[in-house]
Amino acid sequence: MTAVAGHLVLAARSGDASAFEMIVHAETQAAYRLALSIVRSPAEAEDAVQEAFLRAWRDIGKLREVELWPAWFRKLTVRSALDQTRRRPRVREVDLEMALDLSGLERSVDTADRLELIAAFDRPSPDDRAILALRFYADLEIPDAAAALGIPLGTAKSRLHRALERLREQMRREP
Amino acid sequence: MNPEERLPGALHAALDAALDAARPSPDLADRIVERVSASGRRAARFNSRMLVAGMAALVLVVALVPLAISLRSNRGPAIAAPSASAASKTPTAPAGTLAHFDRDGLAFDYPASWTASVSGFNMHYITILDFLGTGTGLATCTAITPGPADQFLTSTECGAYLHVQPGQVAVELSSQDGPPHGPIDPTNPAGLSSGEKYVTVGGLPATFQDDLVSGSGAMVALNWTLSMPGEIYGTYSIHAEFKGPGAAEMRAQVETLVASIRYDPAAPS
Repeated sequence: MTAVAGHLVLAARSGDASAFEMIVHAETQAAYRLALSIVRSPAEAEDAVQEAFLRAWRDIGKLREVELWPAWFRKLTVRSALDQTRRRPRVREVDLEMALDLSGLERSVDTADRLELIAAFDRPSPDDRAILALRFYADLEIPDAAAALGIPLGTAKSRLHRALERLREQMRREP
Repeated sequence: MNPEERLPGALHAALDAALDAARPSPDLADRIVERVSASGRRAARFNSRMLVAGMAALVLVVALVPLAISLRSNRGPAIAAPSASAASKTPTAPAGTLAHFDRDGLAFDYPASWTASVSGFNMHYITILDFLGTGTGLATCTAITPGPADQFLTSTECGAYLHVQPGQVAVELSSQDGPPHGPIDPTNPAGLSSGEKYVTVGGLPATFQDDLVSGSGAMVALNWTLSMPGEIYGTYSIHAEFKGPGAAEMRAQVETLVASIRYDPAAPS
């Protein structure tokens, strides 16, 4: 999440809708990217972000310290994204690489490797994708990723280990 | 490239490169703002920006003189309203017996072993009616003086909070009036936030959300928003938090409380 100014969070927590609107505009893109790393289509990512902000607005009064906003909103985004993956029938899945604008990327060997990795990344379960995305895209330490997912630290460690193992296995089978 | 060597460093780089190029729809933020504006909110807070600082400060001082004065060290002078704690003096009752709440148009039963405190704490459009349970409830108002870098004038921040230790339950009972609170329309799917569902409480439409707050399974939060008979823009809110051990029993206690709710005036049959 972006570094939203504390006074905006404080004002939003006090019911200031215009302050929350500014937060929405500041956070939407980062939240969308995080959600997109977990769900499987841009539409689901946008729905997840909308739900996250609605929950944030409803519950921001419970946020005890404004400094907790980034972790708190990240958790809401992750949960909303996971809700999307569990709630909806996957009628029209879109591979992550197709959802991203890669037209500007040079088709180099490195890019091919990247696309292969992304394609492999698109196959894990939503729970695996979430822990991988939080660890390797959002750059969270494992305890913070565990908090964002709402799971115990030990569970996060084992889930991350298993997810990486599955990814490696996937790439071995499809070199 | 050996896959063993690529992960996780290469995954990191691949995701960075790909996701950093991702853009949401240009109007996504505007659509979110629109939905937020149309939605209700459980705990809107009173926020008075004092454009005429001197005059407003005088009003604030007059209004809050009877209240306890405290300091919030990093924000300048602060004024705290009287807190209401569920840990107030109530005789301990045998397990299984019930006490009765009947006030502010709402009646229900709750375990007599719980403590209860009349709050009546008004936060502008929201009134905390009561804290119940074995945990602690707290309602405060704080006058916030901005620092040199802040872009706001003096304001007042009010909030209600629950605190539960393992094995404790706390319930916050409040009423809200004025838009965007109410009416609860079960035919409107857009009236629900994520995780909420429509239910009936006391014969009237309500919403319910079962919300696991902590991933350890220790903390559970339950939210009900109830219709207020005779009021278009008015709702009651019941917010319960509990932490195991004994979570199942505490959940049952809260659900029994909600199941016993009756309105005054009574809901139309």
